[in-house]
Amino acid sequence: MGSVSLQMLKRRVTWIAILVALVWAYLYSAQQLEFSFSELFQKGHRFFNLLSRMWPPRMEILPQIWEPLFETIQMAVLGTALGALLALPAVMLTSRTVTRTSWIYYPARFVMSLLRSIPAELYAILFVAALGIGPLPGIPALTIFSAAIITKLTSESAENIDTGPIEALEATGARRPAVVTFSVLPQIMPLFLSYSLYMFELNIRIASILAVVGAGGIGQNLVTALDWFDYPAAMTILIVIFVCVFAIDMISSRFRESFVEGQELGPVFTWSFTIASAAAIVWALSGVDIDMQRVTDGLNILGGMFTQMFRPAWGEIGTAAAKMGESIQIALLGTTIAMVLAFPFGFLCARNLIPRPLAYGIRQGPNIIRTFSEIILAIFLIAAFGPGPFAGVLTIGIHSIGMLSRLNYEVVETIDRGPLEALSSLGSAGVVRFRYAVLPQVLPEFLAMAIYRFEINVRAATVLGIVGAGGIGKVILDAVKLGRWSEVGLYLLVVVVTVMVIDFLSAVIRRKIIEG
Amino acid sequence: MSGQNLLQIEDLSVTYPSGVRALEDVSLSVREGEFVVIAGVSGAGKSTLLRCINRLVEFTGADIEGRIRFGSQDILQLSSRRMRKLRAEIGMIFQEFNLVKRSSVLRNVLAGRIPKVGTLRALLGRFRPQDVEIALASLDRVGIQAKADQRADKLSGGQMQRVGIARALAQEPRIILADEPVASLDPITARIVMEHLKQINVESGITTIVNLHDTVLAQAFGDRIIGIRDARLIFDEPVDQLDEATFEEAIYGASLSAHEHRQVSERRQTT
Repeated sequence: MGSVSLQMLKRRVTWIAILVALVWAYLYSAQQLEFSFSELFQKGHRFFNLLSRMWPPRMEILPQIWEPLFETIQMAVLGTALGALLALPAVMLTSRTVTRTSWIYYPARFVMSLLRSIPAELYAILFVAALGIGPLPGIPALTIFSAAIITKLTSESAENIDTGPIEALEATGARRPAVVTFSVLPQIMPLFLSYSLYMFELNIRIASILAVVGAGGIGQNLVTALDWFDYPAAMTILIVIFVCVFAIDMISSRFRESFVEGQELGPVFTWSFTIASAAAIVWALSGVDIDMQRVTDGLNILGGMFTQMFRPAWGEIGTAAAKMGESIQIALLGTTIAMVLAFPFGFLCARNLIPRPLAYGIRQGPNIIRTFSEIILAIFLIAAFGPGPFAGVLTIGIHSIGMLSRLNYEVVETIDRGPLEALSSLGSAGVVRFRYAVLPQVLPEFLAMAIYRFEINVRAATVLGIVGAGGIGKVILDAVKLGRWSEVGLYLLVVVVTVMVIDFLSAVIRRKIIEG
Repeated sequence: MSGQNLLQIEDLSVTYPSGVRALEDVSLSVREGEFVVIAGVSGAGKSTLLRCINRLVEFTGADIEGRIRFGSQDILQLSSRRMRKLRAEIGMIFQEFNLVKRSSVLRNVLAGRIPKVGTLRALLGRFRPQDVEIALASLDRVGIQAKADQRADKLSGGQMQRVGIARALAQEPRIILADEPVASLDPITARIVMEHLKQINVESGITTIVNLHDTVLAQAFGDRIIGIRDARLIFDEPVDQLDEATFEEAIYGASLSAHEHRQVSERRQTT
């Protein structure tokens, strides 16, 4: 009896400690960033002012938008295709089932997580400096980022493949490449394609804002419209981006479902997918002007940049740490706000607790929020509230509500109904059932999701500075503009190390929370 | 039936990295064309024994001692390159079939042809017409040529194992090793699959070694039965000289004491 209550006490203390730590971190960051809700209430009306000035949209600018919209899609297509092409061998090197040699496996994993820790927008800043303004530098930026993400997702799944066929192929005396081609590849191909499509959905979002660092696409029109205070035009562009992202998500998720469900993909499906992909790539290649002279010049410049970047300007470590700290605080405040606000959505959108039509209706709120990338949100929030961390926190907060709500309701929908029925049979009231049958099942998961989101938000917060929403992004962009590459090297190093450390800690803490 | 010795194992001992001793001083020889059943409960060391013959066991990092001669070659001394070449002549059949479920039946069988067509051609999927012919003929021998174009996961368990046999046959092997080939199948299907294996052995004279934990099937199909228990070889007799009761007792009975071990091995020497 005594040991049981001791255990309960221990668990309670842990939870209280987590809560206290969270509240302290929140208050500390809020004080540092001078973020307060009273400011939000005072200035909140500005945002609605902005919205009202955006209405009605100015549809007559549509003809000018198609060209940059196509450019955006073309960048995303090429970035995804090249990224997937690079990811395939990378998946092999970072999967334990394929690469048994430790001195290849571990370094390969390290390199991939290093590449993954830098957001696409930061890559784009570097490539714009080397290749010049336009869609061209957007392609390598998306390529590297996509390769890193696709590799991570696919190789995680590849750890769970059936190893029987590998043994069988090994037993026939086939060489290693043939063993992999015949036993591993057929198993991971559907997942690989599915993740590549998912990456394409992400890349459309990223490509639509890469213009803020000069990498072409529809984002340029958006920034120009806001610069000219032409809010109705900005609204039109937003709608176009929204429709485009929504349509591509829908088509892509159809394909993804067929891949993952594992049923036999008939020749009609296979051919239509192959032809559609090939056509998209050809179309994208025809649209982007790849000037070989520019590419070779760019590679030379890039070489020079990198040699300087590998000599980091340690003198700036103070600035780097302070600005990185600001990014982390923005991520922390935003995530905490989102965690609190996404909490009710987790239940209100769950089909097993709320009548279906109502749950679907409520879902549309977070769904719409999710469609817009952080940068677009930031641009608008800055237009309403002015530059600085305040807009950054709101950006992260609002975007994460969309993402976390979805993760939360997915958790709620998978709860075990047994305890609910047990309590109902006792004649317990709804509130009691919720408190004792639902909450204990979902709380640890909710917390784990929020921590995971924090991990992603730290990356996002390093980018927000580019548009003026606080954090390290601003100093990176400034250093690039002034050509101070050894400073850029230091800043990127700080970003990479911080992100990798936070990823690692987050993974450890999440595992602890889920396993209890 | 009695040809020359094809396989000769002397004092084979295997220790896994976990410290588990999987085989202890096992010696046996198999003649060309024999159909040998290795009987024993799961965990006795049968699978390890089979996987020593094609050295698949080394992927587990196990430590192997002793000697294995296959034809004129000393298996444990071969370089990994030479071993890979030799594996092409050794067909293997697995308990869980080990098919690529998303690939077609034909493609699964063609995998057995990879060493013959060469890696590059295999990577490009450029199998020669004769390879496809051999693969189809192999499927025909186990009676499922009609399923060649189907995806492997559309088949029943028995059919999957027949594809597994066809894959081994497509290698045109000198020996077939079957590790519990029917343990995942229902009794009726199990008999059909065992009959296929037996028939191939009789018709083509391919030496076959089958691991079975089922003593009934072992006696029904084996020409000769080797018993493995607690990592040791406990008997090795032609099936017609086997006393059913002692056999069952030796395989399943209560754990043998050191004294009983000695008794069993003495009896083995007298017969």
